[in-house]
Amino acid sequence: MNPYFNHLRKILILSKYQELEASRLYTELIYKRVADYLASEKTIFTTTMVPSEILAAFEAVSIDSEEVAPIIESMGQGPNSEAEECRNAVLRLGMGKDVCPYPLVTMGAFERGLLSVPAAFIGSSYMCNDQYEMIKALAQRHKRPLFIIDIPSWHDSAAIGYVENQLYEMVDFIADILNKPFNYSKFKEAMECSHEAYSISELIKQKRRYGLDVPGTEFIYFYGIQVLAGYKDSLAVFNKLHEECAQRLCDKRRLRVFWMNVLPLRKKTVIRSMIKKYNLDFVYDELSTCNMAPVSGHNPFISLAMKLLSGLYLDGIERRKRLAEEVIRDYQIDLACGFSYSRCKLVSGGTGDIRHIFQQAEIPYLEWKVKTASGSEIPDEQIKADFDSVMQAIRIRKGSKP
Amino acid sequence: MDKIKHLCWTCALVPEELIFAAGVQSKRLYYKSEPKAEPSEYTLPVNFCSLVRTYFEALTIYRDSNMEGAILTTACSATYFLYDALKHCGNMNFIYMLDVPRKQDPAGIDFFARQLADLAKTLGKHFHVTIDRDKLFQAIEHFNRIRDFLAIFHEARVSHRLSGQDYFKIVHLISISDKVIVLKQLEKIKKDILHADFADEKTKKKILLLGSPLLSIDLVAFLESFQVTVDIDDLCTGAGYLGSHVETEGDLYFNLAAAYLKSRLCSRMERNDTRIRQVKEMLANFQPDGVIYNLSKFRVTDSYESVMLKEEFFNEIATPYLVLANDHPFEMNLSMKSRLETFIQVL
Repeated sequence: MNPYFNHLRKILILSKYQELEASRLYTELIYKRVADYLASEKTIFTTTMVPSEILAAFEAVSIDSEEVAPIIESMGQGPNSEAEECRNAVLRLGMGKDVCPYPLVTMGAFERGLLSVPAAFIGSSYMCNDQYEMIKALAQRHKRPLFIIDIPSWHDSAAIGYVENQLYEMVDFIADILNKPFNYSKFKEAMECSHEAYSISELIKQKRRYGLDVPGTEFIYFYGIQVLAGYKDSLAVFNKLHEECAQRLCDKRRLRVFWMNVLPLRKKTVIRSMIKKYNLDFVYDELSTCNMAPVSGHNPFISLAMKLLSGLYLDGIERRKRLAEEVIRDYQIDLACGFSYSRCKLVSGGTGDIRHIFQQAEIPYLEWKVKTASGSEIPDEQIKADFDSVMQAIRIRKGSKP
Repeated sequence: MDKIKHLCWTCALVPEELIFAAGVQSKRLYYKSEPKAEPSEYTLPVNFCSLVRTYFEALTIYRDSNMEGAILTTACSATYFLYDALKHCGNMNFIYMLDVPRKQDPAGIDFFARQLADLAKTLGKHFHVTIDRDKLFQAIEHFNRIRDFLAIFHEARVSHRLSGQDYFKIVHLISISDKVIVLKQLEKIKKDILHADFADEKTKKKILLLGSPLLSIDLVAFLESFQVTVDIDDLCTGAGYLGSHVETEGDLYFNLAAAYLKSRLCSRMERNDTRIRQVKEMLANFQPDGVIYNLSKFRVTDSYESVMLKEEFFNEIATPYLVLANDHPFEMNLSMKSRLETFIQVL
């Protein structure tokens, strides 16, 4: 039995106990994608931020690296864990330990047979060098065709043209790999689907600011959904979320915590326990769905190019700072917190950038410095203790009972 | 003492012609040899690309008073970090991030040409000059003359009339000097090479150096002290500098973009299969007895590439291969010397 898939099955079973049906739908969606990938022959493996709308139009069987490494990381910690075994499998090839562990886990999953080798790889230069280099290395090692979509950092008409051109090439590449013609009307449908999911997520965000309650313990699971833009199942999750939360109003006395960056799966349990213990309103969605963008223009390829160029990470620290300030102001945040991954600017910004973001904000900031994206070196007990002391201080300041 | 303001650059894909056309001196950023200072530990974490950390130190702590600023490129995610860190605490008058596409097709060239036009506009605004076609034309002509010299020196290197370290020194000299004065110096070096008696380099063992940019001559000098000749064609601080001639007819920005993107490019720019082909071509041309991959710690691109090439070398190519992980500033410690000596002995 494939331990990775087995673990995913356990997550699916446990998702029945989630408060929201949308959470279960989301888990089911990921489960189905991985199950289809493992059972199919003509598959495509991608990095994050590959335009999934095109893959959806082809009805391609695909998964991306965000559906692999975080799940394997969540299987356990320690020297004999699956994540560690995956990393070791790649280190044995000669890779240095100074490389980001996340892509190493993904590469290791192929080495250990947890993932079948796809018919082709597609990568994006958007996210980070590690993912970009990982997909290049995977394609080379497994002797499969590779397509890279290069996303520039600045957004001008030249950049739009440059990306648009690559989207046409990507269509040809997939058509060739799957031996399937491109269906333009399905692409239009996928784009409509993507746009509608964006609109609903924006609506939820707006309503959240005025008191709509989306339980933080549930919403934690929604990170990564943006990579599934264009799929009907993904849109169904957003629709369900909106429907379920429409009548829920947040108790204004609850403290609001803004989680600044990506929450590692390994730490979700302890964070959820803190949310429950202190009955926190957990604001997490602003950054996690930030890469969803409107795609309703007349020419879907241009719209998609513009969406890819509108990514938060490309804009650097200033836009993240503005976004963080907006969240703190609009949600009346009581506490901001997050992990600062020392090497991963794209996820956290690192210590220097985080100080820059919060130096003007008059709210406490709880920061855990970690060297790896899994955050495993910070014990759960430390997170609990930190929360306990900060929450006590905030409550005293606000005049409520500790 | 040099009082003229200059701009630094960190990546060989920055066309110096534009800086020259703005009437400003351009210099490649090399680090000073002082020990590491604490401030970059504060801003950039310790497990961050050592090359980028060094650049940060050179641009902040050890910056000389005539340095007006720097032009960086979107070469990797570490440079985004550097850009933000410099913007927030670098106290620089000029800082520009040049977006370099990874694709070298017409769309990529067109995109890069527009980025170059924007850079020219920004430079003009900052230095209160207009970079018109005439100025850019003259700058391109000037740099093409430098390229002519570089081609001569490269030929001298290929025909073993120049050692690896001499060639490295010449590239270094050009990249940090006043580009007007350097032409006279190059003329003199050319005469010296043509009239000098040369040691027979052909009998020496040959080592091909791949990987991260070398900002110090130490490694090449150490290797060549063992009757070894070192080829630095792959490095942007070697034969990768300045690349091919730039056409002077038609759209000059497009010509610049095409010439720079079509030059020999680093692992960041190329697909793995292209890089393997390039390395194989270098092996065929240079026929080295051994290959050393110079790997800067925490430099992601090279970490992946060194492993990929290792697999190729073990499986297909019968050439000894050594991955030499090092830090910046480059330090020839005893352990490294010992490894290199052993490697040379077994060649």
